[in-house]
Amino acid sequence: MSFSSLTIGASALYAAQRAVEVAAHNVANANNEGFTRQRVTISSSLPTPGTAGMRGDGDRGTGVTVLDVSRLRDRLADVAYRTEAGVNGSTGARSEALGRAETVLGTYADGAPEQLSAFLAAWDQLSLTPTDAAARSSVLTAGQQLADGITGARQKLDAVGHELSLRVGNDVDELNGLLGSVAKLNDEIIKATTGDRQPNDLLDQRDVALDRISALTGARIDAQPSGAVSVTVGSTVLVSGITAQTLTASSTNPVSVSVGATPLALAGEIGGYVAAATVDLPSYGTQLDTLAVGLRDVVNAAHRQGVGTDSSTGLDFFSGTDAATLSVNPSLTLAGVAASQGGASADGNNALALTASLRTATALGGQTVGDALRAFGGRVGQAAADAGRNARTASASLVSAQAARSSADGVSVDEEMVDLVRYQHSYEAAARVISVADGMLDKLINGMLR
Amino acid sequence: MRVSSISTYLTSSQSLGAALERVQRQQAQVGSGKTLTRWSDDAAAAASAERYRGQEADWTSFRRTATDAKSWLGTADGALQSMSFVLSRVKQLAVSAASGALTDASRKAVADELDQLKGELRDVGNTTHLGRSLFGGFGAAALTTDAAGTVTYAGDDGEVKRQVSPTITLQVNVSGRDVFGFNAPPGEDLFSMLTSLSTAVRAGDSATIASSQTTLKARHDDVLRGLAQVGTTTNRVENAYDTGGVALQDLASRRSELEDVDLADAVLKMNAAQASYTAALGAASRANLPSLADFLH
Repeated sequence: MSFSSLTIGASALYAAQRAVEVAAHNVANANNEGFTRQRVTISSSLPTPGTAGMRGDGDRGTGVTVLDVSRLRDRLADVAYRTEAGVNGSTGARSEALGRAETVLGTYADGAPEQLSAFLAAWDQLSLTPTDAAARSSVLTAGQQLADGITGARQKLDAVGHELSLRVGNDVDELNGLLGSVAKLNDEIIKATTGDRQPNDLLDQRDVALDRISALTGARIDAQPSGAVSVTVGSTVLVSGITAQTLTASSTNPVSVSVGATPLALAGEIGGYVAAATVDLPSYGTQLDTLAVGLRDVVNAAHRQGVGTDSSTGLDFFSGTDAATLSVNPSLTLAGVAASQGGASADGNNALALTASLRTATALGGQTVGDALRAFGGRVGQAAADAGRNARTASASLVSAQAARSSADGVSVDEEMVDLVRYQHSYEAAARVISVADGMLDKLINGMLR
Repeated sequence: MRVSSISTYLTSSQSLGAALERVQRQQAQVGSGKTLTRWSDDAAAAASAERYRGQEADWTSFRRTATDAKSWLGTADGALQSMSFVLSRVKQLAVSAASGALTDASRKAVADELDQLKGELRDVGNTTHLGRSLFGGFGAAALTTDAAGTVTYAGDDGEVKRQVSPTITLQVNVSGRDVFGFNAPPGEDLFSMLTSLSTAVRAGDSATIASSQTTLKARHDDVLRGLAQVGTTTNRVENAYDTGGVALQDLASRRSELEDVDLADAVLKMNAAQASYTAALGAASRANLPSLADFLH
């Protein structure tokens, strides 16, 4: 009779306790989105050699040992999730930016096209009552409102651009923090692995940071042999081992992102904002400039032909060189408004010529000013609608990628309950083994000496 | 497929969110009565609806112009009618004076009446519409009288135009030069003719009285021609005004088809969205079933 049954029982007790502990840890983290479920791997411990030549006393089992507590992580599911997170970040950011830009022409049904109609109606009224000072002044007011509508649109585009640069700034700050923490976690993980520890919870923390980095930048993430991961965008390495780069966002409009002096083309959320700020908004700005110049030229050409009540002629109605500077000619007085063709104060025929020209002249690439304004609104709206649709699709894909990943690495409470029951039983059985061994030893030691 | 606890919650919250978003969208449509509240709701439809709105604004403006033109033409018609009436009386007087059966006193009375009628014609010729001379082109007044009582044309040849439809711009004024015969050879205009007629009647100069009849007829014809011109223009303005009314109704109904919610349809869709939200709620409550933990002791 040896004491080995006691130690075997003890090893089983320990293994069962450890397994219950892991199950408890899993259950505790069942709703932690960054958590990966863990499993104990148990194996029989090294046997002691028996007596040579006696088959009945071969290798003797010594019980059970806990080899490892491993993380059940699906690397491919991670790659799929992070790809979707990058796409979702970029489409979401673009949709948000274009959604903000959509209202540049004012509210639908109460914006620049309506101001153009009001401007035309004011000239129509002036053609009826050319001598009426109120009609003259309302032509100037309606003209200024129309110009304000267009300059306002331009200012809103700039405001959206500025807002985007602030957002990119915030995102880059967050990204720098994440890159730093990934490098730091890399360091701790390398130390843990070389010390032969399994740093499960550090790995989880790092994966959470990497998920967010993917959403922000769409960066490529590669495992390194040391246990560290590298983060790469294009050919620029942002994190390698324990070193992380610091990114800077320009505070200019349009915004740009760089590492040191090297400009960096990111994807993901930051990339979406940068693309909207550098491509979409400037293109809208240029289109607005064309509209403003077209409006100015058509109105001025007709206005110069006319004569004001002060006999002035050849005056411009609108001044300015682009959408930002369009305005009613500041030196144009009430008397200077050229409603007349021949100079007679009761003559409203130039007002008629002006409205006819503004309504029909195809000055903007085969379109009238009104049609071009409405087409611009339609284009901006269409882009916002398309971006919104893409964002919804990407978000649905992200949700399904997330579901696929969490089905691989998420905690199932039922499974943990089954494990609890299983290891509870094995704990009870091991305790029984110990009590049997105890009984046998009791018999041997106490019973025999009596 | 292995189901983790967290994926059940994710699916529940995702489907609840999507269902609630649909309910909200339908509610907004029913509430506002509009399918288009932003350009991005349907950019192509929004661009068309905006074009219709622009055309509606144009037509509204043209109809206002047409109303002004109708009132101008109505005033001109009244003025020309009364001129024609006065000229008929002048003709009567000229005929009775030409008969030679009148006493000196009667001839003087006829001549006085002719002078008064001339004054009346001059006043009618200076009729204004909203402060503007009807027959003087762009001038402030059509006729002036000098110290000697000679009436001359003070207006110009300005054409007062009104745009009454996208394609029709009409001249609404009748030139005083034409109506009063200032284009005729010197001395044959309406007022010179009346002056010489009155002088002839006063003097009993029956030869001049007789010869005036031809000029008188020509001047009366001028007035009638003006009346006809006013009548034709009025017809065209009224046609344009009516066309505008039809166009406005048509544009409004086409725009409404693009912009406005089919209420019955929208309410049905909202009910469907609400039903699917209720179903998603039910599904969520069932998906979060008790786990094995509830059955262990």
